[in-house]
Amino acid sequence: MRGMLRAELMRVRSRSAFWGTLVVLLVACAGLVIAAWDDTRPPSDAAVAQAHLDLDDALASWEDEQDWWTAECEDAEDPWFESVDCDTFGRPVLEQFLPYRDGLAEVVDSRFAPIGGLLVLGLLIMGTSLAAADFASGAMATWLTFQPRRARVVGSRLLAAATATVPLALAVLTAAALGMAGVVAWNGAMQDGGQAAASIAAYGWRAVVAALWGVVLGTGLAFTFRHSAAVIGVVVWWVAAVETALPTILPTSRGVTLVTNLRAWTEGGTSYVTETCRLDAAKNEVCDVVEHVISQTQGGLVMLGVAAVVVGLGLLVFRLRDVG
Amino acid sequence: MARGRDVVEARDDDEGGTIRNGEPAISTRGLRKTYRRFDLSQVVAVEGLDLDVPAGGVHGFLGPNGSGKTTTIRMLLGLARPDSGRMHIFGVPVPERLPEVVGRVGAIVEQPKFVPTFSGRRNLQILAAGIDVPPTQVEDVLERVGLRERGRDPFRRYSLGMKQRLAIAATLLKDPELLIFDEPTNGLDPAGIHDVRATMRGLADEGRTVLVSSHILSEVEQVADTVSIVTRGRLVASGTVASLVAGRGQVRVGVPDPVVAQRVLTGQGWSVQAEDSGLVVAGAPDAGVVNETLARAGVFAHEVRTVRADLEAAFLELTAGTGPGGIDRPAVRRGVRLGNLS
Repeated sequence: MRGMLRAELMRVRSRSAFWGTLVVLLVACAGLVIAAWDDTRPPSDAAVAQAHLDLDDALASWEDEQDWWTAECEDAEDPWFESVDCDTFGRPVLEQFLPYRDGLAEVVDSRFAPIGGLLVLGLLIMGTSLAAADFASGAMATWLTFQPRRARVVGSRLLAAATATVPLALAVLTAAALGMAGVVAWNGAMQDGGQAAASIAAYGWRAVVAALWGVVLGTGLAFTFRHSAAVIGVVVWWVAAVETALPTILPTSRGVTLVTNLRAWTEGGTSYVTETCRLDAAKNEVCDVVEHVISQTQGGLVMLGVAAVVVGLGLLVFRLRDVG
Repeated sequence: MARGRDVVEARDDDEGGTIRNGEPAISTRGLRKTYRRFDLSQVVAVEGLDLDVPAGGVHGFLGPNGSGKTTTIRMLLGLARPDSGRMHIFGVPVPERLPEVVGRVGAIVEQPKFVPTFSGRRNLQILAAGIDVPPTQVEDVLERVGLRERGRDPFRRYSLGMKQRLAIAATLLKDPELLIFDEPTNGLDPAGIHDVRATMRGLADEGRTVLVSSHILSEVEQVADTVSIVTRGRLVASGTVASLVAGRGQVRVGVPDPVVAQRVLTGQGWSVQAEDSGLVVAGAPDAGVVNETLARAGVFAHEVRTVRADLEAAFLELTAGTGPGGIDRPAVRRGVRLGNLS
């Protein structure tokens, strides 16, 4: 088995699918880093000048209405107003007219978290490609004349794909994290660095697990259907029928869709809402909105179950079907 | 079954079964395999095949297209599952215990199949790593098949001959006792065919068993010690080449009145075909008997000549029939070359 794993790792390392996936994911991350830079960049001179103009207008209005603002403040009963200088209450400040800038923690939530989904998609394709290409070329048949134990062939493939996935995912996540931290620092928006680092670590390990799930799923599908086009067809059908159409018809089914559960895993939990509408006594439609929370644990268990089913199916089909 | 050469000695092998003197390298009994078409109808590829490949020497595995040769080889190698029947390699039942003997078997099934984007060397290195063969062995086998200089080229850029040589190199990584070549000379130029033939002969001379399925009968006749002929998934003949062609000689007769001569000869129970200006008689003991028979009937031949029997003649006679898996005899008689039929 060690020899088979060594051979499979050599095969993965020599595959353009592996390096191509790495490059595509790094390019996608570069896009997210650019987006992070855009989210945190300081306002331009023109924006600052415009903000000053807007501030001047707002100040003029405030001065015209200052008595009203002062009276509102002084008459307010809320204890919070006790610490407020009512002479300057409601006075506009420049920051109100400048574009909002994210800090690193916000960038991590908005730009780093989606990398988990990207990794799943990329590794799903890579896992499929690695196995399906050998069926297409017939190299699988040659391999079986050397290694006839089919369960071991599947096992070593999965293990090699998973082993190769870890450094690939870490490289992508590290590049993204460093890139985002770099541009945020460059833009001078580095706040809450400690909290951001903790978020990166949390998102990061969950993304690595999600990537492993993606590559295992892709490999299992390839052993089941043997052709990349067939796998793509099945995935497209699944997305259209189960992930999109079914929740439209049956909203509560959103809780069992893969996208929801994957998001629950990669984001540390998620939620979705359903509406229950009825007519009240006045014949008006009244809707109750219910939020359903999906925990990270549930997401992980669903992913694990799906991976087990797909791999089991792939193994069964591979053992039973002839190889050409 | 007669044996072409006696190269097998009794020995114990801790990897698998025990080879005893006279035990075949490959044996199948009642082997059957069907495929389902898209319309769910069944196609019988192999129908109760009983095959024995003697250990040592080159064994030709002959049959027309669709006769089940490749399917049989694929079943032996565990690539296809038989519906029923038993198979043994070196006395070990397969596919149940194939892993025990697979290290002793090298095979090329149909066309050489490797990862097209990898170099020839890389393809072999991966196969070698899988069976714990040291990388130096890869260089040795590349050298042996004359591909060391082209080892860095992607497999997809190889000529058909080079691909075939790489496949042979891959089989040699295991240093196998049994080599299975399925149509190894397909698409090769004459030099390539000569090389493959020499390689097969050389491997057999080293004491290995070579099973070669081929439609080029002259190739098989030159290199094989024994042959098996299958048609429609069944074994129709097996033995040494000499034993198969024995008694299959034909006699060509030139006579002034072919119609009368044909009636006389057919009356003896021989097969007679009109061809060009004469008759071709099959099944007669020899040319002298044919001549004597005609003379007694008052028909005097101006030409009586023995046409040498060869494997091709035996093959045609044994596989005669229509439809897939057999040869349409009238088509053969119209001059379709055998090399294009299988």
